[in-house]
Amino acid sequence: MIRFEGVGRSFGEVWAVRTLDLAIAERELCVLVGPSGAGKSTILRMINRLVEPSEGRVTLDGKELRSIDPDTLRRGIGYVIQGVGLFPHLTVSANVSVVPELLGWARARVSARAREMLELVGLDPDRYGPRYPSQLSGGEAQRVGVARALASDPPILLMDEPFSAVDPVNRLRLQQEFLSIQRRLRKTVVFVTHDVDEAIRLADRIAVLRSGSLVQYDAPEALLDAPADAFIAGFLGSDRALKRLSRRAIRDWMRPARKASVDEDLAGLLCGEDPGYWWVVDGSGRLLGCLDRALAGCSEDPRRIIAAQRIEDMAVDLDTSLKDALSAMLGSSARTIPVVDGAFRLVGEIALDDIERASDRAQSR
Amino acid sequence: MTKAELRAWLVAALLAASLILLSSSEAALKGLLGLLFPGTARPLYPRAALAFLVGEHLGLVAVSSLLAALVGISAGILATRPGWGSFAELAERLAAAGQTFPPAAALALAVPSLGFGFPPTIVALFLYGILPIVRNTMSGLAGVGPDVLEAARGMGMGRTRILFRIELPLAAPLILAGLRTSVIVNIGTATIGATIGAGGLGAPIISGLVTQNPSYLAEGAMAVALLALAVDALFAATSLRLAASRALSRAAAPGP
Repeated sequence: MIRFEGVGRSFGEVWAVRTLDLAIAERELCVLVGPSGAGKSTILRMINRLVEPSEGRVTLDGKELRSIDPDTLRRGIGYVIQGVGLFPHLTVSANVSVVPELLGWARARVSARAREMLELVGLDPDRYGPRYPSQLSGGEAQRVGVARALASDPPILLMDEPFSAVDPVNRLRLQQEFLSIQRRLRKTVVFVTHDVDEAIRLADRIAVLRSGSLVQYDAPEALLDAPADAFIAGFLGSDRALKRLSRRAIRDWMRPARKASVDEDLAGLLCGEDPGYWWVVDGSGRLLGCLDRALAGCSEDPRRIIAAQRIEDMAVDLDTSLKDALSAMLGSSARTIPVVDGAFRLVGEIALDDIERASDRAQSR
Repeated sequence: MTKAELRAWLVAALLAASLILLSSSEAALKGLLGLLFPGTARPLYPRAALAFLVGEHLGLVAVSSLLAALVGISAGILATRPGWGSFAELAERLAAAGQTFPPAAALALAVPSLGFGFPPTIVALFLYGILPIVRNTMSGLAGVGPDVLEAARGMGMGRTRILFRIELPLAAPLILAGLRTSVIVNIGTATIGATIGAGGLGAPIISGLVTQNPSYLAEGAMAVALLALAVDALFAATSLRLAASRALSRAAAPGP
């Protein structure tokens, strides 16, 4: 547990942080969000004593930070910054090994750990280990930055706008990868960003800051449902309902799919009594296409219909959010779309009604 | 080893070998000078062997450059520590003054307190050679990215460790370049030591000027030039080695 008690920090005349009370629970991903100059980074940097509070105190598991030697403290806290700050004269492996070496680990353990960490962040240790930072792309460099911060297995991870300098496509991937790493490792993470979408995507709890003060501290859903004031509502944006959907996973709201095997009498379905639709799958459950009585008549060849479809534009992955499902629905002008797993096997379907249901449920909380 | 580096080592070896050949074989040197100045009765500087003069000269340069490196690099490090900003300005100004001051004048001023010979020459060369070292050390250290330093601090590296494991290695190419300039300039400048009896390769040059013997002059000048070129080639090869060993540039190593 990291606890700020009445913490203030001034730089000359300016108070970057004033009378902050904040408790960050163990194994939670806490995002500090706010416009620039809100004091986010100052708060973060007080946790590893790169900045000292002017008043109040910061404690870690009840122990005051001031009583811990800064270098010892920092070796137990992972730190990832926007500019990455890889050491240009050291290889990727050597960069990842820095903290374990500072801690005096045996050489074999250090190099095994470096390999493990590179694998964790999705970089092949044989390919990337001997490279130098100048030979990496921005996204790769930030992956190495995360691997380096996690190398000594610290219980706490501080991340200061780690993905801001990466292009949007890679940023989304890095965020998703980081979330899956965090689900496995369950570190106490303090994450600074000015990007509300990023905050909502990642956080267990969000602390909204404005000119050095904490204005609301809540789970993302609660924040979206009930912003404390007009500033927060404005900061969250006018698309709060959509953002709420982005926090909801399709897997929690989908329903069983109406499916038909490609080996069945598909023509019979088209001419039969049932006026509905079927998702057609092959023998291994992979989604092939859709037969809809409203669109296809009895005389048409079902296989031709399926072959002409671009079902992959319509299908959504069960690990994406309701927001993505809504987008896919609008894009394919269908009220019901199929849900697939990573191998494109049909696992369910989701309808516009389900999304409305999810949205209503959230508002009425 | 890259092609450029191999070439640099070869050039250095070739230049050094020719200097060694000339200074170790009196016959060869005499033959060469006789060829260049056929009218001269005694082409060889008589008071000392060339090898001895080269040794003296190298001694002057080595001692003064070592001092300049020690003081210059230390001053450059101090000047870039937080809270030493005013020292930075002072250090650079003093170093600049040292270089603006003509070495001959420095000699003249140093003689009354230090006497003739080796010591005042060392002082003059030291003053003259310190500027490029201070300046390059400062800009090399200042060029280390703020993100790199922030990451190093945040990972729990102490100040000393950051200096020796991060800052100095990253500044090394620039520091080496400063040393190279300083040493090369001092190899040429050290010839003035002969005017106050410090010996070295300036001795045959001065003597040649005084006695109007162009052969003496050529003996000294040729050796100084060869020495400067050889040392410069050594520095070039070393800096290429340094760059290649860490692939500091994208071009120096296989890309992704």
